[in-house]
Amino acid sequence: MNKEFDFIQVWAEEFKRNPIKNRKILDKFVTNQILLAQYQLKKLPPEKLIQIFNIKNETIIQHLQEHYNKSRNG
Amino acid sequence: MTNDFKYLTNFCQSFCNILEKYTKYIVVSGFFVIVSGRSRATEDIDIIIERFDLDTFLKLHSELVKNHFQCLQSSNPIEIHDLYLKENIPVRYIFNEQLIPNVELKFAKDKLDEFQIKTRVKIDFTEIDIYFSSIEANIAFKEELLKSPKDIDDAKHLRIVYSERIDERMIKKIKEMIKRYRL
Repeated sequence: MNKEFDFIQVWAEEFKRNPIKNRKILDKFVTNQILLAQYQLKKLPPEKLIQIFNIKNETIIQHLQEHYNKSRNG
Repeated sequence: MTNDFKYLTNFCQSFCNILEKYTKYIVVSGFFVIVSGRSRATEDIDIIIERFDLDTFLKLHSELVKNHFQCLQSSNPIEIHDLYLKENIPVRYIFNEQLIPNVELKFAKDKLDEFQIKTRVKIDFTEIDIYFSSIEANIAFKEELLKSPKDIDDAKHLRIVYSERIDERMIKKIKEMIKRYRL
Protein backbone atom coordinates (compact mmCIF):
# COMPACT_ATOMS: atom_id res chain seq x y z
CA MET A 1 0.00 0.00 0.00
CA ASN A 2 1.15 3.51 -0.75
CA LYS A 3 2.69 4.87 2.46
CA GLU A 4 1.37 8.32 1.58
CA PHE A 5 -2.21 7.04 1.55
CA ASP A 6 -3.98 8.34 4.64
CA PHE A 7 -7.04 6.14 5.07
CA ILE A 8 -8.43 8.09 8.05
CA GLN A 9 -8.38 11.37 6.13
CA VAL A 10 -9.70 9.95 2.85
CA TRP A 11 -12.58 8.12 4.53
CA ALA A 12 -13.48 11.02 6.87
CA GLU A 13 -13.67 13.41 3.91
CA GLU A 14 -15.67 10.91 1.86
CA PHE A 15 -18.08 10.29 4.75
CA LYS A 16 -18.57 13.99 5.25
CA ARG A 17 -19.21 14.51 1.51
CA ASN A 18 -21.87 11.81 1.28
CA PRO A 19 -23.09 10.79 4.76
CA ILE A 20 -26.39 9.22 3.66
CA LYS A 21 -24.85 6.69 1.28
CA ASN A 22 -21.80 6.04 3.43
CA ARG A 23 -23.76 5.61 6.66
CA LYS A 24 -25.59 2.66 5.08
CA ILE A 25 -22.24 1.01 4.31
CA LEU A 26 -20.95 1.81 7.79
CA ASP A 27 -24.07 0.44 9.55
CA LYS A 28 -23.69 -2.84 7.68
CA PHE A 29 -20.01 -3.05 8.61
CA VAL A 30 -20.62 -2.33 12.31
CA THR A 31 -23.58 -4.73 12.54
CA ASN A 32 -21.68 -7.52 10.81
CA GLN A 33 -18.73 -7.03 13.20
CA ILE A 34 -21.11 -7.46 16.15
CA LEU A 35 -22.84 -10.51 14.70
CA LEU A 36 -19.46 -12.11 14.02
CA ALA A 37 -18.28 -11.38 17.57
CA GLN A 38 -21.52 -12.85 18.98
CA TYR A 39 -21.01 -16.00 16.90
CA GLN A 40 -17.42 -16.34 18.09
CA LEU A 41 -18.39 -15.86 21.73
CA LYS A 42 -20.93 -18.70 21.51
CA LYS A 43 -18.03 -21.07 20.86
CA LEU A 44 -16.23 -20.15 24.08
CA PRO A 45 -16.76 -22.07 27.34
CA PRO A 46 -18.68 -20.19 30.06
CA GLU A 47 -15.63 -19.94 32.36
CA LYS A 48 -13.80 -17.97 29.69
CA LEU A 49 -16.75 -15.61 29.15
CA ILE A 50 -17.17 -15.09 32.89
CA GLN A 51 -13.51 -14.12 33.07
CA ILE A 52 -13.53 -11.84 30.00
CA PHE A 53 -16.67 -9.92 30.99
CA ASN A 54 -16.27 -10.13 34.78
CA ILE A 55 -19.73 -11.72 35.05
CA LYS A 56 -21.04 -12.16 38.57
CA ASN A 57 -24.77 -12.29 37.87
CA GLU A 58 -25.75 -15.89 38.71
CA THR A 59 -28.76 -15.86 36.37
CA ILE A 60 -26.54 -15.01 33.41
CA ILE A 61 -23.90 -17.56 34.44
CA GLN A 62 -26.56 -20.27 34.62
CA HIS A 63 -27.90 -19.28 31.20
CA LEU A 64 -24.40 -19.41 29.68
CA GLN A 65 -23.80 -22.85 31.16
CA GLU A 66 -27.12 -24.21 29.89
CA HIS A 67 -26.59 -22.74 26.44
CA TYR A 68 -23.07 -24.16 26.20
CA ASN A 69 -24.15 -27.65 27.33
CA LYS A 70 -27.02 -27.60 24.84
CA SER A 71 -24.77 -26.60 21.95
CA ARG A 72 -22.26 -29.35 22.80
CA ASN A 73 -24.95 -32.02 23.04
CA GLY A 74 -26.81 -30.82 19.95
CA MET B 1 -32.97 -6.06 16.46
CA THR B 2 -30.82 -8.15 14.12
CA ASN B 3 -33.15 -7.71 11.15
CA ASP B 4 -31.70 -4.39 10.09
CA PHE B 5 -28.26 -2.88 9.88
CA LYS B 6 -28.65 -0.47 12.76
CA TYR B 7 -28.01 -2.96 15.52
CA LEU B 8 -25.67 -0.81 17.59
CA THR B 9 -27.63 2.43 17.27
CA ASN B 10 -30.93 0.72 18.11
CA PHE B 11 -29.36 -0.88 21.16
CA CYS B 12 -27.97 2.45 22.36
CA GLN B 13 -31.16 4.40 21.62
CA SER B 14 -33.29 1.91 23.60
CA PHE B 15 -31.00 2.12 26.63
CA CYS B 16 -30.76 5.93 26.54
CA ASN B 17 -34.53 6.36 26.17
CA ILE B 18 -34.92 4.64 29.54
CA LEU B 19 -31.98 6.46 31.17
CA GLU B 20 -33.36 9.85 30.15
CA LYS B 21 -36.43 9.36 32.35
CA TYR B 22 -34.31 9.14 35.50
CA THR B 23 -31.10 11.10 35.06
CA LYS B 24 -28.88 13.16 32.80
CA TYR B 25 -26.44 11.05 30.81
CA ILE B 26 -23.76 11.35 28.16
CA VAL B 27 -22.49 8.82 25.65
CA VAL B 28 -18.75 9.24 25.22
CA SER B 29 -15.80 8.02 23.16
CA GLY B 30 -15.98 5.09 20.68
CA PHE B 31 -19.69 5.03 19.94
CA PHE B 32 -19.74 8.78 19.26
CA VAL B 33 -16.87 8.40 16.81
CA ILE B 34 -18.60 5.53 15.00
CA VAL B 35 -21.91 7.35 14.54
CA SER B 36 -19.81 10.26 13.28
CA GLY B 37 -18.68 7.99 10.46
CA ARG B 38 -15.47 6.34 11.63
CA SER B 39 -15.23 2.81 10.24
CA ARG B 40 -14.14 0.76 13.20
CA ALA B 41 -15.69 -1.85 15.46
CA THR B 42 -16.77 -1.42 19.05
CA GLU B 43 -18.33 -3.84 21.48
CA ASP B 44 -19.30 -1.47 24.24
CA ILE B 45 -20.95 1.89 24.66
CA ASP B 46 -19.57 4.11 27.42
CA ILE B 47 -22.14 6.14 29.31
CA ILE B 48 -21.62 8.53 32.23
CA ILE B 49 -24.64 9.49 34.36
CA GLU B 50 -25.31 12.12 37.00
CA ARG B 51 -25.06 10.70 40.49
CA PHE B 52 -28.41 9.86 42.11
CA ASP B 53 -29.79 8.05 45.13
CA LEU B 54 -30.63 4.39 45.56
CA ASP B 55 -34.38 4.89 45.18
CA THR B 56 -33.94 6.40 41.74
CA PHE B 57 -31.59 3.60 40.75
CA LEU B 58 -34.09 0.95 41.86
CA LYS B 59 -36.68 2.46 39.52
CA LEU B 60 -34.19 2.76 36.66
CA HIS B 61 -32.92 -0.80 37.06
CA SER B 62 -36.45 -2.16 37.26
CA GLU B 63 -37.40 -0.50 33.97
CA LEU B 64 -34.20 -1.72 32.31
CA VAL B 65 -34.94 -5.30 33.38
CA LYS B 66 -38.53 -4.98 32.19
CA ASN B 67 -37.08 -4.06 28.78
CA HIS B 68 -34.78 -7.11 28.66
CA PHE B 69 -31.56 -5.46 29.84
CA GLN B 70 -29.49 -7.34 32.43
CA CYS B 71 -26.51 -6.26 34.51
CA LEU B 72 -23.49 -8.56 34.18
CA GLN B 73 -22.24 -7.84 37.70
CA SER B 74 -25.39 -8.69 39.66
CA SER B 75 -29.13 -9.09 39.46
CA ASN B 76 -29.52 -7.32 42.80
CA PRO B 77 -29.97 -3.57 42.22
CA ILE B 78 -28.91 -2.64 45.76
CA GLU B 79 -25.64 -4.48 45.21
CA ILE B 80 -25.15 -2.83 41.80
CA HIS B 81 -25.68 0.60 43.33
CA ASP B 82 -23.79 0.21 46.61
CA LEU B 83 -20.85 -2.00 45.59
CA TYR B 84 -20.26 -0.65 42.11
CA LEU B 85 -21.78 2.65 40.98
CA LYS B 86 -21.50 4.43 44.33
CA GLU B 87 -17.86 3.33 44.55
CA ASN B 88 -17.14 4.65 41.04
CA ILE B 89 -16.82 1.13 39.61
CA PRO B 90 -18.53 0.77 36.20
CA VAL B 91 -21.16 -1.91 35.53
CA ARG B 92 -22.17 -3.47 32.25
CA TYR B 93 -25.67 -4.01 30.90
CA ILE B 94 -26.48 -6.41 28.08
CA PHE B 95 -29.65 -6.91 26.02
CA ASN B 96 -31.49 -10.20 25.53
CA GLU B 97 -28.64 -12.27 27.00
CA GLN B 98 -26.20 -11.26 24.25
CA LEU B 99 -22.84 -10.28 25.78
CA ILE B 100 -22.07 -8.00 22.84
CA PRO B 101 -22.85 -5.16 22.47
CA ASN B 102 -23.00 -3.91 26.04
CA VAL B 103 -23.27 -0.63 27.88
CA GLU B 104 -20.58 0.36 30.36
CA LEU B 105 -22.37 2.59 32.86
CA LYS B 106 -20.72 4.76 35.51
CA PHE B 107 -21.48 7.68 37.80
CA ALA B 108 -19.88 11.06 37.14
CA LYS B 109 -16.83 11.00 39.39
CA ASP B 110 -15.41 14.52 39.35
CA LYS B 111 -15.86 18.10 38.14
CA LEU B 112 -14.70 17.11 34.68
CA ASP B 113 -17.48 14.54 34.28
CA GLU B 114 -19.97 17.05 35.68
CA PHE B 115 -18.74 19.65 33.18
CA GLN B 116 -19.19 17.16 30.33
CA ILE B 117 -22.76 16.43 31.42
CA LYS B 118 -23.51 20.14 31.77
CA THR B 119 -22.27 20.80 28.23
CA ARG B 120 -23.83 17.71 26.65
CA VAL B 121 -25.18 17.94 23.10
CA LYS B 122 -27.33 16.19 20.56
CA ILE B 123 -25.72 16.16 17.11
CA ASP B 124 -27.94 15.90 14.02
CA PHE B 125 -25.08 14.60 11.89
CA THR B 126 -24.98 11.35 13.94
CA GLU B 127 -28.65 10.62 13.05
CA ILE B 128 -29.33 9.33 16.55
CA ASP B 129 -31.43 11.17 19.13
CA ILE B 130 -29.24 10.84 22.21
CA TYR B 131 -26.93 13.09 24.24
CA PHE B 132 -23.17 13.01 23.72
CA SER B 133 -20.36 14.77 25.48
CA SER B 134 -19.32 17.67 23.27
CA ILE B 135 -17.22 17.14 20.15
CA GLU B 136 -14.50 19.21 21.84
CA ALA B 137 -14.55 16.99 24.97
CA ASN B 138 -14.23 13.83 22.88
CA ILE B 139 -11.27 15.25 20.96
CA ALA B 140 -9.60 16.56 24.13
CA PHE B 141 -9.87 13.21 25.97
CA LYS B 142 -8.50 11.29 23.02
CA GLU B 143 -5.59 13.67 22.40
CA GLU B 144 -4.69 14.52 26.00
CA LEU B 145 -5.59 11.48 28.13
CA LEU B 146 -6.20 8.29 26.15
CA LYS B 147 -3.59 8.78 23.40
CA SER B 148 -3.52 5.23 21.94
CA PRO B 149 -3.06 5.06 18.13
CA LYS B 150 -6.78 4.24 17.84
CA ASP B 151 -7.70 7.29 19.93
CA ILE B 152 -5.45 9.58 17.92
CA ASP B 153 -7.08 8.30 14.71
CA ASP B 154 -10.52 8.83 16.28
CA ALA B 155 -9.64 12.43 17.15
CA LYS B 156 -8.32 13.01 13.63
CA HIS B 157 -11.57 11.69 12.14
CA LEU B 158 -13.65 13.98 14.40
CA ARG B 159 -11.50 17.00 13.51
CA ILE B 160 -12.15 16.43 9.79
CA VAL B 161 -15.85 15.59 9.98
CA TYR B 162 -16.70 18.47 12.33
CA SER B 163 -14.04 20.94 11.10
CA GLU B 164 -16.49 23.85 10.69
CA ARG B 165 -17.93 23.66 14.19
CA ILE B 166 -14.99 22.81 16.44
CA ASP B 167 -14.11 25.40 19.09
CA GLU B 168 -10.34 25.14 19.59
CA ARG B 169 -10.44 27.34 22.72
CA MET B 170 -12.88 24.88 24.28
CA ILE B 171 -10.61 21.91 23.43
CA LYS B 172 -7.75 23.78 25.12
CA LYS B 173 -9.88 24.50 28.18
CA ILE B 174 -10.93 20.84 28.52
CA LYS B 175 -7.32 19.69 28.09
CA GLU B 176 -6.39 21.98 30.98
CA MET B 177 -9.18 20.41 33.08
CA ILE B 178 -7.91 16.93 32.18
CA LYS B 179 -4.43 17.92 33.41
CA ARG B 180 -5.94 19.24 36.65
CA TYR B 181 -8.31 16.37 37.44
CA ARG B 182 -6.94 13.28 35.73
CA LEU B 183 -3.17 13.50 35.18
